[in-house]
Amino acid sequence: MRRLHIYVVALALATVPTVPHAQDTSPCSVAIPSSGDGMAYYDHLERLFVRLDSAFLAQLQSGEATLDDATRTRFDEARMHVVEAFDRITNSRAQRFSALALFDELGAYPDFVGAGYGGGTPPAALQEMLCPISIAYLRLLREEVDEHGRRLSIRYGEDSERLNIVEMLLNEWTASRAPMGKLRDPSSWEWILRMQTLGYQYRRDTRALQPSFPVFQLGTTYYFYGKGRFARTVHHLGLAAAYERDVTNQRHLVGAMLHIQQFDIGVLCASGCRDHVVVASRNFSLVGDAWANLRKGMGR
Amino acid sequence: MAEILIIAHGMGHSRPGDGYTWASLLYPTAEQFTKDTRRWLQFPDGRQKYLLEVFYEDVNETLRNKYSQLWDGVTGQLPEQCRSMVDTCITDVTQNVLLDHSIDLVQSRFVAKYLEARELAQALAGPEVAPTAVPIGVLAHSLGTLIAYEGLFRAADVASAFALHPVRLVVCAPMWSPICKVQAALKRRRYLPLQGLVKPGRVNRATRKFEPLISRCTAIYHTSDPFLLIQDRAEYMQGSANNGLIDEFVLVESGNLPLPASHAMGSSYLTHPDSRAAVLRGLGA
Repeated sequence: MRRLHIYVVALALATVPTVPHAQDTSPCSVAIPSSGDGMAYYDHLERLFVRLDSAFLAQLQSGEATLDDATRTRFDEARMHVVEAFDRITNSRAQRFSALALFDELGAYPDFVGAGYGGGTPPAALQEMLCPISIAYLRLLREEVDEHGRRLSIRYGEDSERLNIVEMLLNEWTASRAPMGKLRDPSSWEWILRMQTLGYQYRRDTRALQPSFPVFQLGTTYYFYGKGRFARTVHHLGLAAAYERDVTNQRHLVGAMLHIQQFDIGVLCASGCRDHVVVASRNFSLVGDAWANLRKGMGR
Repeated sequence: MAEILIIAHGMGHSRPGDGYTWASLLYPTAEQFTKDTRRWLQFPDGRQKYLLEVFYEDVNETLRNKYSQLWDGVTGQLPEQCRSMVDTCITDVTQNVLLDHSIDLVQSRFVAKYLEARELAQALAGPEVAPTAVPIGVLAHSLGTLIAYEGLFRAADVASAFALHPVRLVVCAPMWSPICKVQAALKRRRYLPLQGLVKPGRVNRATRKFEPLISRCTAIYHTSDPFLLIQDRAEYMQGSANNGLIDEFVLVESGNLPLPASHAMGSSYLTHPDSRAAVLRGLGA
């Protein structure tokens, strides 16, 4: 009976698939540097590089790995670039240093390791040393991609300004000037060029609310991509010069409109500006949304 | 032995997890498992195939809301019965084909999956083995073929400092031919009109040789698929306008199926034995 029990347990274990958790556990035998550690990150990377470099140089010296003269010259240059890149990183500059620029230099090294073995597979010991460096690179790239996605979701997400076709084409045309290649972060700036019928306006002369006339606006919106409380709370701020034709009194009103989150408010007045008009979003329930966003941004 | 499969669906009413249904149709003998964020197929012979889905329907919906005034103005004029279908087609296609930021957003999703696949490959291979020992396949359909193509180009650009992990790309009902013409006519700065149908990759800094990110590309079309009518097939043939991207073009005689079944993955490309065999051949398993 005991033997049967062991057999059943062994069978169950054998049929349960093993699941590697690439995100949870390190795929390499040594710890992967974490990019948020500042100077410690670069120190860790440098130690990994020195270990790999010593091992590969020993392989070249012993003849286990070989590079022809031209490749060896390029290898020495690439190696020097890596060493110089590490030398440029100091405590005071670590936070501002672009880790991707370092990896641009570092990335050549595995190419030469591969070439040392005729394009074949390097020995397991060298492969093990390459592992944490390449995984650190992949994780840094994933952080970059995530950040890129976060910025795009701020600029185009549900809290962003709603655009008409003219604004869409204008912004698209402006954005298209960006070069191809690496990830292209969206611009913080967005054109405002719209005729907006705001729901209500308050007239100071009559001291009353009345339906507003279409307000023509020309200006720009600025999106805050920072991660601080202010950026999270405000999300974006738009400022536009505004013009309204007051059909009732046959007046031309000019002024400015402010766009914060989904709430729009403006002040317009005729020449002399003795009796200004205050206009605001037609949907006052948006005030509630704005308040909810404000609370969300404040982290409450 | 483990493998990884990245799936990019087409436009329409896709839901998260549709790609996993494709995987079940493609590999009916395998059992599907999920644990945390991982999903994989367990084959009777012990092999495992890990599945990563590139889902972007929510991006389309978000952007549709940003330009709601425009889209409502366009589709609001249409009869009620066809509004939903036209609405989806117009917004998804227009946004993904023409708007730079839309495709940037979707590409960043694809690139994220490619990077995740590479890290997973290293975890599956073990620290002492090159991660390229774990094959990565990409299966895309319809508009997803554009997402995969542009996504792989962007991945090659973004991750080119280190050696790339080549993938086997299989595209069902590719839409590159007409989209390239539209993008070129409108002077869009996208990979497709600028590069043409070529394999993305990087230059090895030691050997100075070009290393393609796509090791093999298979393109499949059904004769019953009406989208075949708007394709210039010559562009998918080796040695013509195709600059070496497509290694095998398969045209499957599929009889007469009505739309949308004739274009769909589940009811057409993965159920017809010839196209299913071509997909498996293209993915190398």
